[in-house]
Amino acid sequence: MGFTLLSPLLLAAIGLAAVPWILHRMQRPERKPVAFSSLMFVPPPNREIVRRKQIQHWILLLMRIAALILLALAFAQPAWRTVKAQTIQDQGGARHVFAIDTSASMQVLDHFDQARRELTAALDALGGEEDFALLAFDETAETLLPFRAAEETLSSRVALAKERLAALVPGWRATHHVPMMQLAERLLLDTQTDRAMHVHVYSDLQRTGLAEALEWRAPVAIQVHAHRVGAAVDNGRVEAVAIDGGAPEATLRARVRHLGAEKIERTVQLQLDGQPMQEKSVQLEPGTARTVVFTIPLPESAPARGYLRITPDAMSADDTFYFAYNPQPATRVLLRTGTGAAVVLGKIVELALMNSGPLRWDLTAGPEDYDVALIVGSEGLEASLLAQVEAGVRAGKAAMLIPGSARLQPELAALLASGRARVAPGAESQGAFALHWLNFQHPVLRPFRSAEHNDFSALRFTRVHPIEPGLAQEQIIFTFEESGNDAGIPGAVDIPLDAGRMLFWAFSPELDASNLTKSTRFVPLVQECMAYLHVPVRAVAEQTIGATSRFPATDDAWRIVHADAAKEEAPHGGVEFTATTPGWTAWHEGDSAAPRWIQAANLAVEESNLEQVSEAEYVLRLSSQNMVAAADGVPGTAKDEEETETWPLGPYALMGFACMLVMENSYAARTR
Amino acid sequence: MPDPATPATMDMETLSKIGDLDLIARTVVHGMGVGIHTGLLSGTSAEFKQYRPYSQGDDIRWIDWRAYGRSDRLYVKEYQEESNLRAMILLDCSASMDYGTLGWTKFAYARILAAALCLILQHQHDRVGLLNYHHQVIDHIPPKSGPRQSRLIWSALHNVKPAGHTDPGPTLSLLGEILPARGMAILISDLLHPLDAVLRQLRSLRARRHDVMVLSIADPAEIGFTFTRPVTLVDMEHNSEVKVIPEDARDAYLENRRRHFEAIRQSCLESEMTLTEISTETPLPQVLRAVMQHRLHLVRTSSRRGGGG
Repeated sequence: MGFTLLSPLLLAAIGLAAVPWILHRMQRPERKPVAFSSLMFVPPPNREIVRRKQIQHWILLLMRIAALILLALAFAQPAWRTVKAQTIQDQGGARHVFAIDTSASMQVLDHFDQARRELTAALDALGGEEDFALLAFDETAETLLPFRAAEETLSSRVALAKERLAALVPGWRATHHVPMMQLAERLLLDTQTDRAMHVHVYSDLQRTGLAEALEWRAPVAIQVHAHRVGAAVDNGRVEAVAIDGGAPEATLRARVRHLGAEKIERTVQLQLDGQPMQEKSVQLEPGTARTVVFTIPLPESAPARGYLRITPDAMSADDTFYFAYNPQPATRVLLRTGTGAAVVLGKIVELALMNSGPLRWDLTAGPEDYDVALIVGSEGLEASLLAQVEAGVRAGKAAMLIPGSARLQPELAALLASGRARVAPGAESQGAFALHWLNFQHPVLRPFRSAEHNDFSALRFTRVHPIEPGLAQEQIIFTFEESGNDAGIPGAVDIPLDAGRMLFWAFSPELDASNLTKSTRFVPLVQECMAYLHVPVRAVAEQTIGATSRFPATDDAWRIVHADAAKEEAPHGGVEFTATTPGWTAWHEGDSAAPRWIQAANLAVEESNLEQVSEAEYVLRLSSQNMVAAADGVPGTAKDEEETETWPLGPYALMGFACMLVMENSYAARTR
Repeated sequence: MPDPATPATMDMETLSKIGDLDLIARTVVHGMGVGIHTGLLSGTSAEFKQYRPYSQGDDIRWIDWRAYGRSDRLYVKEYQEESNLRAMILLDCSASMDYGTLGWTKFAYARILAAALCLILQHQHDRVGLLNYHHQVIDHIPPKSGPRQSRLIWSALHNVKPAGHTDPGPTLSLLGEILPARGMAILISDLLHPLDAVLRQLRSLRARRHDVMVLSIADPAEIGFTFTRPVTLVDMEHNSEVKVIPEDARDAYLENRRRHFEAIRQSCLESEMTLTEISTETPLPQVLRAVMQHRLHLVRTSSRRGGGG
């Protein structure tokens, strides 16, 4: 095929060759003679030497220029390409993965239709021996059509692929190219084959979608081909909303940004609970953001929801920003501590509750008006108070009992006496127990479900009161296990008691452990236990599409709806919900029309940035192969059916450079 | 050392831009700080200077006996010394003097030096004259004293322009006629003419029993041949051209120059002439002090000769 450069851009360094020429020009004798007082001491010029010097200077100049040209050439990675004798056709044709971008940015103008058209044309151009798979991707990648099964024909698969493409619409998620490339790699490398492998990406090639591309590249065996659709357009967006204050009036601050080349004027419209409220006009310079401030009335207790909408433009996906407002009444807590070490522990628990977290706790509640009773060490407490708490639990309230320092508290003794649990044989021995097995399915342990949070090595528990298994599984909150003992001894129990429920810690935290009140293990554990016992109204303003909302677990009937003004409400099951379109997600208790919990889901901010990369840069960043023209390897073209061998010439250029340097040095030394 | 903050230490570049030579000369002389007082020597002359009490060792010939008769105290009568020195400043005005790389030329430097010398010598009650020359005599002002003489000299210095080539022949013959024996000749030149002509000039001066002081002026570029790039040089006196590769020509140039000045130095030594080699970088007060030292030595010597004999 001939001579080629694998990094032709670096050939620009050939401009360095001008440096010796410029220096030479500077060193030349001045054309304008210089007056000197007397030439009586100046030796007569040796014309021969002058002439020879001039020639030597020219030779040195040429050597230096040649050295720099060779160096630039070495960086540009020259190569000689030849066609391999055996073509891919002989080996059964190439394998292609076609990936189409369905992220929110593809909603702009007709970008998605254009991508679909180009992909369809590529499918039609496939040869009989070639095979393909079809992917759709945004933040994640999905296989629409895997590689061919033995009995399928290419034409039937192409027809099926077209059918699936026709049903595809761009979604609301952000673009991440690497997961798609990784899925394509898995599909291609799944079968051991010598056939050529290609990945064809049909996308608007947003720069923000390549954030992870610094750490990952396709293997050398896979050729990446980028097909960019559309061009960057002006885009105004509402990218964040903040609500300050509360009922009856709050300040809403919206940050609007313009990503484009021209100055624009837009109107920002505010809608609250289905009612248009206010409109404001804003002028935006290219690349700048401005804050638009609204004053809105907010209800005292019920949650409110609304949106801000900027004048629609080419990308409509980010023109509307949804927000939710949840009034946040504090949960009334009856906090009582026993005597002795329980006083200290009570203080720690109190600080853990007040320290952080989305919940608000009112710890000043009295026995008559509390929601949750929190008893830390019952020793020394009045019997009448304990009786009052027990009565409250039976009537439908909740209580949490954290034992004090005694090895076997009266509460535990009572529990064991009731036959609900008994002490595991030999488990009464003193010593520290490492907590390293948890029943993560229990709602209380929600914050610890990810691997990031389930390391309890920093939190030591002593004075553990192990209880032998025997309770119903759903009543076991978490269990302790001594190293080497996998008996699964429960450490705390969830005890339903008539209309209410009680949570009992069968252990006490080690008071000597530092920073218990700021521990990323202990604080969430206390807060989640309390939240579990009493579902509060939570304030979560908004989240991004694709993020999972988690809802309080309760025995009562409840439903989740995700809706905006244009969508019909639809019930969902489960305690988790992942929004896939912009709008509100609301949690309704029973058949109540008023939501108790609400949050908004919006487009990922980075998806609004429509800056694109070139096809060449895309290939350079995602492929391990050296950059090649993006048009190379399009299915059905002769180029694609040929397999080439590349002979790198860079080292020879580098050797030439070194030789030239040596020659220049010795020549300069000889002529000096 | 002169105070660097005073105007007297103004740099040559500034001085060379001032048109008034009188002002320049006074500025430079003022920069010397000391040595400009009249009557450096007390001696015998018609002009009374002061009385002072007799002290042991004073020549009793100088005791004023009349004053003793009146006051019964011994007083010595002092007179302002008259040096009777005739100084002639010979200024080389050839084209080669018009060279300079520091922002001023050798000629500008030499002209200011001559004007300042004139002023100082006038203050010392010496008679000063000026001879501007190149291949012929341009100006000739015979030695005289007085402020009018100074003005004449400054005017001649101001009007002269460096041109032509150096030929000391006519100057020498004229000098022989006009300068009385045992005068002081101050030659200010770059000495860039053939060695035999230079030596002939110097020996001729000395042969007339002049006290000769040679101030050889050179630009730093001449001293070090500071060219870095290949260049075509044009002789300022003869307009001849030569292409020069400095790295090749420098050694030979410096050697030729060294030999030339070594021969001059040797000749001066043999003929008891004072040769002072001056770079145009050298502050003028420093040069003036050297000249005045020489003049003082000369006056003392002649005084001793006169006194002694």
